[in-house]
Amino acid sequence: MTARRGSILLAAFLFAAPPAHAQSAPDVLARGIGAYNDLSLEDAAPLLRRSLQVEGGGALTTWERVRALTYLGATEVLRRSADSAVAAFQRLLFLDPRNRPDPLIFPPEVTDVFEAVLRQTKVVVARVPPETDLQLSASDRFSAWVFASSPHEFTAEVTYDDGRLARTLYTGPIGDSLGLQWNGRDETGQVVTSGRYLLNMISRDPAGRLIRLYRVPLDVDLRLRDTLPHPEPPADSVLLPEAYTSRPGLEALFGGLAVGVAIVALPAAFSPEADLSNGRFAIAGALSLAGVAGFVTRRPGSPIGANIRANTGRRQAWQDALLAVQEENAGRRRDVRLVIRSGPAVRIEGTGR
Amino acid sequence: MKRRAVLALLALCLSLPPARAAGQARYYAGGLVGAGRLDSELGGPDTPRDELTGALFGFEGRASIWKLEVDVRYVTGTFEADGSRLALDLVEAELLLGVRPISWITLRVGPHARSFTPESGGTDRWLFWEVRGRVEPAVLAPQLRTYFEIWAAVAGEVNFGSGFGGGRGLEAGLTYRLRQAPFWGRIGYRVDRGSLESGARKDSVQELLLVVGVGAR
Repeated sequence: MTARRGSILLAAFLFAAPPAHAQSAPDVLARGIGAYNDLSLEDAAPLLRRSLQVEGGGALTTWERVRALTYLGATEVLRRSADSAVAAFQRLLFLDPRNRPDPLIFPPEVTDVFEAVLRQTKVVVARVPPETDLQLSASDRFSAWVFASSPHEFTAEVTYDDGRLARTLYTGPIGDSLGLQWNGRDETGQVVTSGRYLLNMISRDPAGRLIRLYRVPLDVDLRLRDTLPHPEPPADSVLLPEAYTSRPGLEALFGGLAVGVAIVALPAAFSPEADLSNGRFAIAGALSLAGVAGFVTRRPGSPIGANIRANTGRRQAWQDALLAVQEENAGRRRDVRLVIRSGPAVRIEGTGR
Repeated sequence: MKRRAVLALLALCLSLPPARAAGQARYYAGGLVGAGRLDSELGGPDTPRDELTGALFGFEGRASIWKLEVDVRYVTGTFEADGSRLALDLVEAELLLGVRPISWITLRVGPHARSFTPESGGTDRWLFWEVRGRVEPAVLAPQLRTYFEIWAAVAGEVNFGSGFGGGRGLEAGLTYRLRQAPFWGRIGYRVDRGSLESGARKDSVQELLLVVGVGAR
């Protein structure tokens, strides 16, 4: 029983162990470069190709891929495989248009072929930030750097997802490199809305035909601050009447006269046997005069100063509040932010050369 | 029946919304000067009516909270008859509980006492239990108001004669309150009559009043 269990464990160990010939892409690349240096060109080419074919976690880095393609192109030149050499160098330029084979390492016949490919291959690569947060009031710009393999006619534009033009960023010749900037506005100067946009970098031949399109998708998120609602003007129910109606004046008149009459007439009924004081006439006269004066000062249509002042204060307070909200909202409207996230670039081949 | 009517009226007034902000206590007090006149049969029912005049001094005050008010008033003076040796001292005091259902109407109840003390000695005392109604409509501005008050005694006592008969009176005048300062003034005319049950004596006191005070009216 123990011997059988031991056999099973040994078998499991043997099957789980990696095969002896399996090597990582960088190792394969190193072997391929070693073979090239040993002039074992027939061994170098497949090793270098194999290193480039590895994908996923063990794949070469961009810098290693550049090295692999450079050595692969040189190997094919020395093997007299011109088409393969051109293809390798083109792939190299697609990956990094600024890269050049080191003349101290590679012989002139290699660099000459590369130069020929370089002159024929019009390609750009852009370095785009993965995320840009623009505050438009601060005149922030979305920036990208474009690197070209060789001088050619070039157009950079931002389009909507359906292909309609949003903004042309550049049209003209491109040499070694070019900085692109976008302020987040379309051709009419309006800030673009949220959505998917495309940053198209187009390489053209002298005849204007499309050679190659380098496209980076942009996800734009427009962030606006909510504005405050305007304060309501003071309602009529809140405002005081600014002119007298007929009622206060009549109330004053009849109030004064009625009390004056009462003070003259009623004491005789209350105390019929008493010799009534004439002084009550003075009080009655004062009351009646006050009533008449009240009627005159409160006649219909005459302004009520205190109410006018109170209403003016309320309206002014509303105006002040409205002005404050308008200023705050103006600031909020200026505070527009655009968050731009870039996606993986794609290259589309055209018909031009 | 009278007591029930008074209680019902008070309940109605208290159920109305307050004339001022609840909980805001207000006070005022004022000094009073005036000229008084007394008409009475002091010598008895068969004698001619006596007419005495004199100066009055006193004070009045009020404390109010919510729609309730308490008023006090004290007046004293010496009255003399023209051309005679008849003279007496008058003392009046009131303590009234009021309710103000709306800003310009007040209903008040309470005791009102009055005494006459002649130089010859002895004191005649009146005690009136009164119900009063007062209106204060504005005439010129909120600062200047007229007032008119009328009252009747629903019960009373006297310490002389045949017993309490009745009492009634009125007062009217003009109140001015300064806009920016807590001072106020008032002029008014008042007549107040009390009678014995037998009708043998009827005292009428008339007052021309000037009151100056401080505090929120």
